[in-house]
Amino acid sequence: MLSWSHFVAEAPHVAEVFERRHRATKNLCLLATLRSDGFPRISPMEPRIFDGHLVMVGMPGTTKFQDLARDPRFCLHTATEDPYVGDGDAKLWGSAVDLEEKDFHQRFVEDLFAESGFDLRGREFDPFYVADLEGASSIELEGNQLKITVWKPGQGERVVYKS
Amino acid sequence: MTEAAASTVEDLAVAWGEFAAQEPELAAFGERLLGVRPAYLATITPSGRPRVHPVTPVFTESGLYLFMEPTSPKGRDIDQRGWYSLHNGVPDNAGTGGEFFMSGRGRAVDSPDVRESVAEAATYEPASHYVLYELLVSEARARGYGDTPLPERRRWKA
Repeated sequence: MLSWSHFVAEAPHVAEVFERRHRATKNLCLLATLRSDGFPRISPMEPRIFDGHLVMVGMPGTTKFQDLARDPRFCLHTATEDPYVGDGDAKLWGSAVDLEEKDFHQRFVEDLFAESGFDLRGREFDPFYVADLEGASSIELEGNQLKITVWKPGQGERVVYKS
Repeated sequence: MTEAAASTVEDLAVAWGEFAAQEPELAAFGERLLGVRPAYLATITPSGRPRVHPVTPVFTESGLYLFMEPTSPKGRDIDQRGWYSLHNGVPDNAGTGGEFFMSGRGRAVDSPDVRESVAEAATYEPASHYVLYELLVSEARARGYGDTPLPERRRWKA
């Protein structure tokens, strides 16, 4: 699995843009999944970065998690507030993987409680999704040009400018 | 998506104006939410993976349109597979202000007259090299929590 920590090591710039926008919108992102009829579905999600993983957390049993259980492929986009992307945007894609490490789950909910007061301590999670990343890109405005940074596993980051 | 399902979408999807004529309250709710902040378009890549993009929809009396770069992956996805989903931009994960989402089939628009009318309706100046797509609607839905005012009919299917 290519976890968040591996991604940061391979794609530091895209990771920095993602983290900056993720923080700026209080973790809000838009998740694309696949419905059972093949249509794409978009759902708001607040993933959290914890201990080397991007944790895809949310209300169990909702349609987005039903989608991921059937087909784990996803695309995750930072929430865009500026249509001219003045502060940049990033998207990640990959597959949701059920991380069956009870100790990790409990450390995660302790951290969540300490940071937000949202108390899931003692709960059991099945599944507990984290991201296995297969690609990412960021977009930023530099002068009159768009700077697009693309990452693929094992290939580092590649930058393209568009006028 | 199976060929049969894709064919059904092809047959049933209607222009935004026709949807709005059938469900004016739901369409007005959607048009308001889709215009507040960048919306999100999901398409399907050649490998079958979902892909999501921020977009700025443009409404005319008859249709719902997107301008985009001719090299845009979302345009290629629509050209090759057609089906899409569109979701309004949201301020948080709590459903504040409500959610509107729709699905259907997209298609490229070549008509200079249509392009001119869409460019006039846009809140920005579309670059001359942009290409134009229309989003036809096969289903639409409104959702909200707490005291968010919602249309009486919250779900529509072609």
